[in-house]
Amino acid sequence: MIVSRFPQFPHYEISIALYEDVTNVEELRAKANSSLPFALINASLVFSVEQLYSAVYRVLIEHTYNKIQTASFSSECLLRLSASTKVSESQKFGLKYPSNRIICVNIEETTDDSIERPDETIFELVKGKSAVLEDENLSKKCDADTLRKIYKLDQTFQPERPDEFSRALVNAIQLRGL
Amino acid sequence: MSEDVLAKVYEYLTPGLPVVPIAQGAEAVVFTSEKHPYLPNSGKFILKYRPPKRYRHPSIDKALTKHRTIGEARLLTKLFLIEGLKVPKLIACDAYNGYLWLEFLGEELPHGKGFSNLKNFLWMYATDDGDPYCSIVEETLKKVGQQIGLLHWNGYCHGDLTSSNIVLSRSGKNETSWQPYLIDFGLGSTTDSVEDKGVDLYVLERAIISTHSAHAEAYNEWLLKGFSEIYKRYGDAGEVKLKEVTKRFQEVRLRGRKRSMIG
Ligand SMILES: Nc1ncnc2c1ncn2[C@@H]1O[C@H](COP(=O)(O)OP(=O)(O)O)[C@@H](O)[C@H]1O
Ligand SMILES: [Mg+2]
Repeated sequence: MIVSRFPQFPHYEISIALYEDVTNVEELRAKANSSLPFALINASLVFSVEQLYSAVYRVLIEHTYNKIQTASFSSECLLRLSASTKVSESQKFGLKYPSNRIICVNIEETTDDSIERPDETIFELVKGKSAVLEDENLSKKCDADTLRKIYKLDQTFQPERPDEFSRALVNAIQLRGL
Repeated sequence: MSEDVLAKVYEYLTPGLPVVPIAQGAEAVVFTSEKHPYLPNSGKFILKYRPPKRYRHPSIDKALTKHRTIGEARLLTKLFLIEGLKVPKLIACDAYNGYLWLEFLGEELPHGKGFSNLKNFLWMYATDDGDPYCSIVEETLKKVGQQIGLLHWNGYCHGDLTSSNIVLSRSGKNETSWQPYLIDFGLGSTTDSVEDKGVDLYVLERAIISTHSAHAEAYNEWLLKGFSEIYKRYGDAGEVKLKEVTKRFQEVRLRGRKRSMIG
């Protein structure tokens, strides 16, 4: 689990963890919409750490400066990852499709700005193996074809390096709905 | 730089994200930051801010700022998809407040010759014991021409193509060759207007003439050579379009000359 704060938003604590071989996907799916305060993301649609944090940054920008749009942090995370303004489209990033690799994102408003010891229990409902959240790990198991469809990247876009593919995703996330 | 604009930016960023102002234009203030807005990476990053304009009605001003910020960001994302075209990477966009985060490009030229935009680069070779006609200068100017060719061929115009809006980047510390990047798309547009393209070329030619008049002829020739190379990749259709643009470029130049004789 990685716990961090963005320098510009010191009062929000962001916890992110990647789990593999998750065994209770059905249970999580049932709870995902209502009772869970954190976002459950299909890890096979996350290509890079940058893609993920870029969406979380946008969540906090929207939350702080465009208050009308923000529902809950968890649904907002999915929405901001998505390249479309449709909520139904954003569900693809959740557990709509079966996946036993799941990324949990929790955004918590706090009164102070110190990083405390990570609370490892927040995601304890997820029964799986905790894995390292890093680019190599994500891109290797990522479903790039589906991502291309979601972000409308046609075949004329043939990046030479992984960071160029990631850049296209960040572009879409930053401009989505504007 | 106005104190209250700076105060506004510092308040927005909080003390956790310090930035240093480096440039102020008509529309935007540009800062550098050593921190990335959302990644733990440190390095150098650009923050471009469009402050509110007092002479505009607040709600119109807000809408306009949002529109221009999104416009520049969107253009950068479209241009990124063009193979071979080099523009700064978009890191983040806060359209509500008029902020763009961009990748920092370029470096300080050796011997205190300033930031590595095209203008300073050409100065560097024109002064001391530099050779203004050396192959590095020639190669670089051709590459600049190619960048403009790629931009125009794909249906975009820059709108403010001065030699400060072209930044040169070296891939390695000891690398002798430079890759030009086009920056500052605040006035850029998606357009197939031959006139706008002619004006782009004219603006750059004027910039070169005014700062490097002794070598301007060769420099502009190299630029145009690189520019033409791109169009010529596309056979007859390319040749036809190239003629259109260069013809209009000459017309724009002629109009400019007439204007300066009158005025
Ligand atoms: N991505 C960048 N990398 C490095 N320097 C930059 C970058 N963007 C802007 N600058 C610097 O800031 C100056 C002003 O930025 P620019 O985008 O041209 O705004 P303006 O519209 O005010 O001219 C540039 O001339 C350049 O020196
Ligand atoms: Mg400029």
